[in-house]
Amino acid sequence: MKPNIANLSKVFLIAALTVAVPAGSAWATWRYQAERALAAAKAAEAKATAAGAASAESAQLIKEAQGLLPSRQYTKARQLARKAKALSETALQNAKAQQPAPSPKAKAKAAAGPAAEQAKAAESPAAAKAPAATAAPSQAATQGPAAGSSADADKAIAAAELARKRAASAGGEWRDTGSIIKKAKAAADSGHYADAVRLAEQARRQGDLGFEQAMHQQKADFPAYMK
Amino acid sequence: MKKTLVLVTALGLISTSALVCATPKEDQERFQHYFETRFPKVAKNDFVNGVYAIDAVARENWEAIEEFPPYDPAISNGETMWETPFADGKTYKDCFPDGPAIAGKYPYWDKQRSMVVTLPLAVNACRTTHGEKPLKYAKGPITDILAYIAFKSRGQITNVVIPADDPKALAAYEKGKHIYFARRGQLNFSCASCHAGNSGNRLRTEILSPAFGQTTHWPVYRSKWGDMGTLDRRFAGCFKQVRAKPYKAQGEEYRDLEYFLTYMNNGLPLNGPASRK
Repeated sequence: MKPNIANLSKVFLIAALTVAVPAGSAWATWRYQAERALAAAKAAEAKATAAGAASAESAQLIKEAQGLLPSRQYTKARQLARKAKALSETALQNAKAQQPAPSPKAKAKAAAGPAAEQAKAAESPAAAKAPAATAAPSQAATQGPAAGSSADADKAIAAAELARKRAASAGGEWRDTGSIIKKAKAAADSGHYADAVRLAEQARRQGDLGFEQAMHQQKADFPAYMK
Repeated sequence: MKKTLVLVTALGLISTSALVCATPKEDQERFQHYFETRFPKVAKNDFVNGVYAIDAVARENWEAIEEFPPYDPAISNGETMWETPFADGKTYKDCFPDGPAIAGKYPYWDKQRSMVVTLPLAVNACRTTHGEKPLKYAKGPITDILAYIAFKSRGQITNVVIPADDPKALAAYEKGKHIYFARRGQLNFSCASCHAGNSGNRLRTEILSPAFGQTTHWPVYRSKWGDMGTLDRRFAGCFKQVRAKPYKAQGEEYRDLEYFLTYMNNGLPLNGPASRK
């Protein structure tokens, strides 16, 4: 009896599909898990938006994650959605932290004299919300009066701290950013405001670059030379 | 014609499935193949010796050092720790009945806790269960107990499993992989920048070690430290060198990184503790 080649190939195909399809999907994240992560990310984004702290990066990540669903890349989609959620939550947290509850330090400055007005301006929600909400957190810090006053230093340090936290939330904080901010605070405390502003600006720049780097690297995988 | 169409469609389905779901196993084969091709003269099991597998001069010096291993005191201290009862009268043996040769079982995916469990984490879990203070993860006494366990586990084969029935395990693996390949820090380097693409090249006076084999020999006595250190200590050192802020020792990030990197080294024998430059 001659083997029927057509039948044999059918059997082979069915067997191959029976093994390959479940074996492939066993490694994968399920669709519902990716959708659940996306829903959580969207909810976090909605909260951040309501608080005026919407993150453009978060929206972009959600969009990318959504785009991965049709091609069944659920693990990657979930990963991006989680990052988006973390970003929105950090933006919201930063925005809340900057609500205009006057600190004892600000009160002391208010009692001290004319610098009080500047200090208040630096702590206003409008000045503080911008860093958490957009991709250019430090622009506010670089604008305004010439560096050199206590208010300038406080404003620059606040912007640097926000930039650092933003980078950290994306896993992109650089080694020295925190210590440069500490130096800036020490300089401000000892009255060297121009130095404090310069250091804070350096830290702020590091925070921004660290965040951009982390965003750029979010799809990092085996390099081409290893494929 | 119809049959050809069916055949092409079916083969397409199979290959698409493979592309969309690139498995850890495929990553591992790619990873090991890369290093075996890059260093064709190095026997597979010799990769466990790190840079000494590819640098003859350094190897000569290292072998001389190994005649009186600088990690010996750590092994002795670790043995004492293993034998000494905790305040409640129990010992490490009560936590690790198969011990002390248990290093080959770590890291593993704990489905119930949905997390990667490493050996240092398990050691501290044991200590806290029995009312002892947890040890610091980077250096100090933890390297003693780990050195003793590693010494007793020599020859076990790295065999990390990523359970196919738990997508969270795969997510942890993917996270570790991302940490390994993402560029970071002010110098914009990834782990792979040094230990894959530039492995075997010189960085100032040092030859960069291949990533293949890097998880088999911990803890390590490092001449630069003048002391013993854990894998997490080394991870943190690498992060600092590229001017990135290190993650917390034994935090989720480093545990996932260890999970990925150890999985890449599956099949290699354990040879810890070791000495390095």
